[in-house]
Amino acid sequence: MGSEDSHNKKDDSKTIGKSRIFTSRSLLVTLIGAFVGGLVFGLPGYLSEEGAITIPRLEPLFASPYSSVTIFFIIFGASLGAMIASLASANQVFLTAKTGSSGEKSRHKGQNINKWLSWGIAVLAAAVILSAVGYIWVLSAAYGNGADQDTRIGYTLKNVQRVPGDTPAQLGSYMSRMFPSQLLEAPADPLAAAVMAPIASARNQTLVYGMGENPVDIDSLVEESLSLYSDGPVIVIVSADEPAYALPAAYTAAFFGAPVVPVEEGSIPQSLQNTLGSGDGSAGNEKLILVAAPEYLLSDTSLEELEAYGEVNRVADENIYKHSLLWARSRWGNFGWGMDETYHFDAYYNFVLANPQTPEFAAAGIPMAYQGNYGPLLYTAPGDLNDYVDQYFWRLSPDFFNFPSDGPFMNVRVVGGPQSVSYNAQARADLGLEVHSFKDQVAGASGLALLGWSWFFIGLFGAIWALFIMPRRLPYSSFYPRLYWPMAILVLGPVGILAFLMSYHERPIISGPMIKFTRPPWARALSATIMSIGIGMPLMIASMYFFQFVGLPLLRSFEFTSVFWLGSPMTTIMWLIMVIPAIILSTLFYMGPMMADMKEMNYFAGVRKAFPVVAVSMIAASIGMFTTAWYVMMWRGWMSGEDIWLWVTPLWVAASVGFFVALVPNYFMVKAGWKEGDM
Amino acid sequence: MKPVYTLLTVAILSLLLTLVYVSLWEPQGEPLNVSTLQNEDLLELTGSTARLSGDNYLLTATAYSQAIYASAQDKDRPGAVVLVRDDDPAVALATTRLQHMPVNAPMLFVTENGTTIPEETRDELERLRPEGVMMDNNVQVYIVGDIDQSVAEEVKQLKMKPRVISASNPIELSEVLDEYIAVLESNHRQIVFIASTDALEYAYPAANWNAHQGDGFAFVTPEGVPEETRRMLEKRWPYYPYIYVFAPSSVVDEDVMAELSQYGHVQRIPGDTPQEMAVRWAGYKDSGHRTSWLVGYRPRSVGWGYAEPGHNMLLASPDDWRVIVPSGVLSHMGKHGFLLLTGPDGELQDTLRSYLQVLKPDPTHPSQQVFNFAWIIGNDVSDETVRELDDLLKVSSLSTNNSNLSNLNNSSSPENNTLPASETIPGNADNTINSTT
Repeated sequence: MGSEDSHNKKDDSKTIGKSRIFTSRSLLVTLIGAFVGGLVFGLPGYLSEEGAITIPRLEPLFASPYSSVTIFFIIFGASLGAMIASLASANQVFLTAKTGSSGEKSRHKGQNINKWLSWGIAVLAAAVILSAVGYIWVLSAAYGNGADQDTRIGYTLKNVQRVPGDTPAQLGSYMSRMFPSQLLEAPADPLAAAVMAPIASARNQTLVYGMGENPVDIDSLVEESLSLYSDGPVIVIVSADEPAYALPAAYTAAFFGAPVVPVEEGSIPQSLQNTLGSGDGSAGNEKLILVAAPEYLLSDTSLEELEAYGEVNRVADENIYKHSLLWARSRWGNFGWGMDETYHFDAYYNFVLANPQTPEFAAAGIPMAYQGNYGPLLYTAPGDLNDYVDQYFWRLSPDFFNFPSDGPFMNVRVVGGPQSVSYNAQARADLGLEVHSFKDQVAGASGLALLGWSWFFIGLFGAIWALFIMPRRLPYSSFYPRLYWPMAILVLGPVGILAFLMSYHERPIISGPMIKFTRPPWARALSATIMSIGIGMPLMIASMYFFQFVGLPLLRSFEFTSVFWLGSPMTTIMWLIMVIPAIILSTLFYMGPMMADMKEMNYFAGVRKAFPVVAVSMIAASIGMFTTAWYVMMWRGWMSGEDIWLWVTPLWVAASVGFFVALVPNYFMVKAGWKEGDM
Repeated sequence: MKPVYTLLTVAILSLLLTLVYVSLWEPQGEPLNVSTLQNEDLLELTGSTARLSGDNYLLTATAYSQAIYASAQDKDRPGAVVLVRDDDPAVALATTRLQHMPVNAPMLFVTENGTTIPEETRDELERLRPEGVMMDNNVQVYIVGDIDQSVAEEVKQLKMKPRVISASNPIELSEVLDEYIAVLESNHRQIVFIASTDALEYAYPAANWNAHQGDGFAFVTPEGVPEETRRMLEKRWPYYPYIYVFAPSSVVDEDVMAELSQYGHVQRIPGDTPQEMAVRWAGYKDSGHRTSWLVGYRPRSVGWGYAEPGHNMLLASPDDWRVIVPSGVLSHMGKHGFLLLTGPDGELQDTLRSYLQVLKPDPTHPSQQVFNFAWIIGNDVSDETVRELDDLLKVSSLSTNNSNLSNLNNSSSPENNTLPASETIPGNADNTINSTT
């Protein structure tokens, strides 16, 4: 407290202009930034939701309903873009000369110990919160960590089982055990098996791979198949090379009934020409010809001949994994699995999962396309589950609405040994396909979780924005508000940003020993509330995380008493542990020294004056927070934990409710003159 | 302080903290790399079923745990493991309710009168490395029942945090456990299942439900309603309990039912044999009031209540409770199946067959198809029985001339454009396909 202050006091309370966060130009630039950011991030979000691209390692996000990932990415990009644009376009406002600001400045020049501590507390709380919310992203990106599995009895998992068979022939003979009907022996040739698949299914036989004589006369098999399905509306053309592309189509053809015809580049087999040519040419007899080979195996020109006989439709993707998904998703009338994941909520899907480098296993598994709990073939690389398939599984991840036992359920059967499809890939599929509550997808994100994350990122970018914008646009703001406003915005998200704008935008500035902002009473209550809980709330969230990390305290000493609920971690004990340190730290390091500055008293007098204000505000805020958290967790089933995606939603919703509850006593405290709310 | 320094400090500190958490992860183990034929008979697959068994009852419990918790990444580990004695079926039955969320645990056994953690159990504990129950101090192992102190010490030596819930007998234990869960959930469960200490096999299906829903569980004895059970039932304040008795009148008579009715709404699950009771319970659903206040209410919905296709089940032989009771974990996650029992002769009984008729799915286009699935529990159910069950569960075949699946949408003359159904839906082709051999 220098002599300058007392000097300045003489021409006190002079309006020295208005604070302005945005100018019309910077507002425009900010809006453009939000638009561009939303576009830049929203587009990949949309494309991945359409299955066109993947976001490796973030597949669990796609457990949420269709469109929520896109919305989340748009909001993420828009807030990031707005932040960058706003900071880039905001001009520095300079202090007007000959005001109290010189005194202000001198007081703020030195970072005394108390300020260092205040700064340290804020920084530490922010880091704890950010590392806590970042944990699930790291966890997701790291694919988790696997235990030593050598004591496992075998490969059976709850949603994914592995069919015994270390060689394709063993797998083939296991099929005859699984489906003990009449057998159709197929040679150890995936292409021959693909051709025979629809024959076996039409005759209600189990195709047994690796048993029949080799080589086999494929042409006569094709002929047989064509005559068997001569009335059928669909013919499936595959390439004679690379059977991995033929097999997903063979699974479809086996179930839905269509001949599979291998074609070499440049030569349409005579049997096919005969079959197609023998038709009377009427529209009714025209076939739908599906080509399950990419352009590099069968070129467009080589298929031109076929166009005379019917509609030729290439159903193929050079990416073999996308190729298998294409056949699982597509449907032509009633031909094709049609297992599209968009808006999927009800049906049960079964899949066979194989490695395209070992198509023999996929071929040996063909009976699972049309017998038992039948379904299409999908491919994965041996190591990690393929990203496209992973994303597809998370999208299909079943939701329950009343009981998890209600269904739907998804099941996968893996073929091949661990060199074909690893245990980790199998376990990943098992994780993604587990049934979860619609609102809490646990290891995956739900719509509610992504809404929480959107809210959080608005808060995060808002906090960074406030951190930089305050010194630039509000040179009169002092040390403490520059810390507690960003912290408040971090936990309050959009609510915090709105409170910030309402407190500081277009407010007349009054000079004096402390620069003050003239505000209507409600805005003073707003500012006063942030002042007393802006640090306390983040501290509470940080300590919540700490307790979740080490385990919440459950007190068994309350068992067998009428106040048993006091032992529950969700009630009183947690509240005390969280709110008391928050009150003490806020008082000693924020509100106390600020009160001392404002009222020009010594530190301890400031602390004494600050304590009741902080205590009332924090208790009000924490009651709002706890009641909300308790309600959404215990009654609405939004269970929380730092390692599940839904973690942020209940906490951040609860924080905002806490803020609104704290507004009430603050309004009255401002009216009663306990605090001013004009900082 | 320049904002950019503040931001940088926060960023660096967050990164450091994240590195600390990551360094606390369990070390990466060897992924499974054995023959797919290993134990193939114990893990036999059919079209709609899969068997889960080990060479002995200890390994069978392990097999269930391994199916549910892959333990290949952080999120497929359990919260904890529940250990019970292998010679106390009543305690095991009462304890399945602890496996439900938020604990999320498989059930494994301790042997030798509750003094020893057998190797099978220890191996699985080490493979699982439970995450810890956040709602209770990150407890990793629950030791439930009359179990020697040395077991808790052994758990600590494995670097896991134990929680002991003990009582000298099952009746007392059910009350002690109820109090623990009441503190955990800050509420006493209003749904209470009653088993008779004299006929525990009737309550197997209730135990599986409880691993899935975590409701209350208490005992009556041939002498009547014990003091512990009475106290437990009185605690459902401010409303009364809904009591479901898993025993026929030959075991729990009308007098005991009347006694129970002093404490709340009481109903008996129908069925004269354990097999019949399991089937009736699978179809049982009791809905209505649970709690209500001035303007709101919470309804009850008790029982699986399934009478339509698209559900999963567990099939066990009733012989060995040590194979049946740990299977609750299969009702708790994954297929969430209800428990069914074969007859004493190892075959499916008629009540079960006719119930499965109700669940049999009709074929629709696969994009909207529903399926059933069954776990075969343990190695006592014969292959023939599994085969019969598989037939009963799978999607039924289309009748011969049903062609609803084969119309292409661009058809102009239906008779030219339809496939015989047998070519579309395999399963009954024999009478239509005769042009080839």
